[in-house]
Amino acid sequence: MATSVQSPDTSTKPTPARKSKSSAWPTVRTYLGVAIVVVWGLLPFYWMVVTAFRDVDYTYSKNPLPSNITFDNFKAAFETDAGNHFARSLGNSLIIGAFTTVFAMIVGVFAAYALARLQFRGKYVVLGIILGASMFPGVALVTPLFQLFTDIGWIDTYQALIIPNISFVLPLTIYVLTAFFRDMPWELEESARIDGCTKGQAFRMVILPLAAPGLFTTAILAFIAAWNEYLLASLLSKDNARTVTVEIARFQGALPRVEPYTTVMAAGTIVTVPLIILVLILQKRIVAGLTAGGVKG
Amino acid sequence: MAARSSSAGAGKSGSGWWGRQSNERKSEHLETLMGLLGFFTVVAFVATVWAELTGKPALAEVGVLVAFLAALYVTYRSWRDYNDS
Repeated sequence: MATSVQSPDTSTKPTPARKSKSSAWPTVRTYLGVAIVVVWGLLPFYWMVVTAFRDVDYTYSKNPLPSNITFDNFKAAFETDAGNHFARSLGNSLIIGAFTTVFAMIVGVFAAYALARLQFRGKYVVLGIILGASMFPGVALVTPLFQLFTDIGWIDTYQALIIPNISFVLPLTIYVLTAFFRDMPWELEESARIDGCTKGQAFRMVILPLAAPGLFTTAILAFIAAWNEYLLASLLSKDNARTVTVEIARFQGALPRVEPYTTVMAAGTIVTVPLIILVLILQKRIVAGLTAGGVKG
Repeated sequence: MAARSSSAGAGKSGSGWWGRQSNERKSEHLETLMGLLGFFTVVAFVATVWAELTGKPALAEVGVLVAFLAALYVTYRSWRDYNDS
């Protein structure tokens, strides 16, 4: 009995060497792909950090490893002697990013819920219009906006940057949240209605808490989009409302006509810190939000 | 892949990815396209009117507007045909 069972097994079983070779290659391939993507994505960031910590005399050093380390560049980034106002612009970016995100999320959640859950005529036409608005080139809006805001005296104010930013971020918010709400099970809402909730209560007490991962993911994407915005900020702001992206671009060093690369790199490193902290804090929720809806059951 | 094959039976017979989708999905896609084209038609219309009112040459704007209107009309006809059938 034992021999009759064992003999076919041994004849059909592949040799250990062949098995390990065939099963190892997909894993190696995956890790190789991941490594290429990670290096491709992080190499500029790594170079920025290394240069940020490098002494100004070694700005053009080709040493890929951290060398001649100093913190002077970070100190110089916050100095106002050369006319740079990095700290103020950092605050401006935070204010503009936060307001843009909050407004876009409030409007986006309701719009996305309506588009995902409610049945009304022309629903997909609205989605098409939103898609069209998101495809509209921002550079085409700069001149009319500049003219309009000059006429009403809004140049160099927060609202001049927040309102156009909302119009850019809102389509993204609505699209991501619509996909998220659409994949949520209807039964949860129906159960809440059967238990006596109104439509509003079902939305507030059942749907919104369950949609938290998607909301966090969308909020972070919206904040990053507003935080990185450069085009409008470069033309619609002067001194008071200048954002950090514009401030870094016009950074001035101690010497005239000498680009302060190390200080710019230090400022760039500082600018990425809030985003990294935000993503690390909400990492679990972001992953849950990004993967939700990927598998349909 | 599973979604495609599951929706294959529900829709009209046809070839390719588009043909395999259900009528409902086709209608939704056409509606979305109408919204997209409608948005840019309105933009082209405003640009044309603005050029006319300010006395600037508007031939290019009119051409773009006519192209968008034609595309919108064709999309609308297709959408109506799907809904009627």
